[in-house]
Amino acid sequence: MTAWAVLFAAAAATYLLRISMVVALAGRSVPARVERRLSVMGPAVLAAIVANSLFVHHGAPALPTVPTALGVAAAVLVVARTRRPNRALLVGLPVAWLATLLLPT
Amino acid sequence: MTTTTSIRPDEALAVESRQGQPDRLVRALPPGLAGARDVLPLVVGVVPLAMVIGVTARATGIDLTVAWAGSFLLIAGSAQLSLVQMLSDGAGPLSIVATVTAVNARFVVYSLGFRRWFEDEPLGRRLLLAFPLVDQLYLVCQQRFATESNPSWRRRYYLGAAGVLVGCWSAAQALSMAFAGSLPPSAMFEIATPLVFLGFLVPAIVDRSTAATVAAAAVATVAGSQLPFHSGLVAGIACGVLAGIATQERQ
Repeated sequence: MTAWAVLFAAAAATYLLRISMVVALAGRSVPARVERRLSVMGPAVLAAIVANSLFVHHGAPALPTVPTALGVAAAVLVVARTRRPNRALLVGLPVAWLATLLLPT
Repeated sequence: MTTTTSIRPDEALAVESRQGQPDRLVRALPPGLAGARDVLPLVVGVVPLAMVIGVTARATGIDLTVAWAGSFLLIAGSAQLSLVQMLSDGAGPLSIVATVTAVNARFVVYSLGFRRWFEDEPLGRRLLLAFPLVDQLYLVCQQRFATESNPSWRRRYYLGAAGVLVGCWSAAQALSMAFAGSLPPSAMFEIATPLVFLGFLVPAIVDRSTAATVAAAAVATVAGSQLPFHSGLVAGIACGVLAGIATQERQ
């Protein structure tokens, strides 16, 4: 029962975060200049998630493995050339797996 | 190269990432299906984390129903993993809720973007729609809504994407809990998460301000990785936004 209560409390807290700006700014308009400035939020979120996935391991800075680095490099090259997001996974994952098989551990 | 200084980075991302893509196909699809279609590549990226959560929950011996319910009540992988581990360690309820809240602090940032997408909807509907708001949903909607402004289309697109994302996320966790002993090593798929997000990140770098944003966010996230409550991610996002705004001011 306690575990359920903790889960519901955590879910409620998470939901409050999700609606925080909807409620706080309800009925108010944000100046266009501020909106424009905040347009960098998307790239900031993406970069933070990617950096956290690649360079943080068990809560500490760490370099990615060579196969991971090769997969990422291939993905960056392909997406930079094609501008198609789904190519990152289609190219990067096989390259990383192939490198894992071929490179000595 | 075309200058994009008059285009917002999210708009540029939407335009550039669709070059050569069957945009007419997306327009021909019902909005819910278009959302489902757009979010599918990102679903692949959440499977490894679902596997880790499923296997961890099974290994810790906590009530699997509670662990699995987190997949659709929290809809936040890192926070759910923290919750499962802390429940298993016997941590205090307040400590667990505080940790989950801190890990999910980035949702405040998403809430700001979400408010813009649905500002014409009634408040009650907006509050319901916000329930599944999470990283992958924020990204596909931010990209698509930069060029689609019809409120009804947006709502149905959002619900289609959210349904597929949360459905697959919950199903992947249930399967991982059921077949924990016979899964391939999740390390094989761990690279999927950064690859999925990289696919969106690379086209988003369109000028000096977005480049500065990305560099600052990445460096600050790694530098802050040992901050308490997984707050390095939030610190990284904040540093990236500040760097981007500072660069915009100078341009």
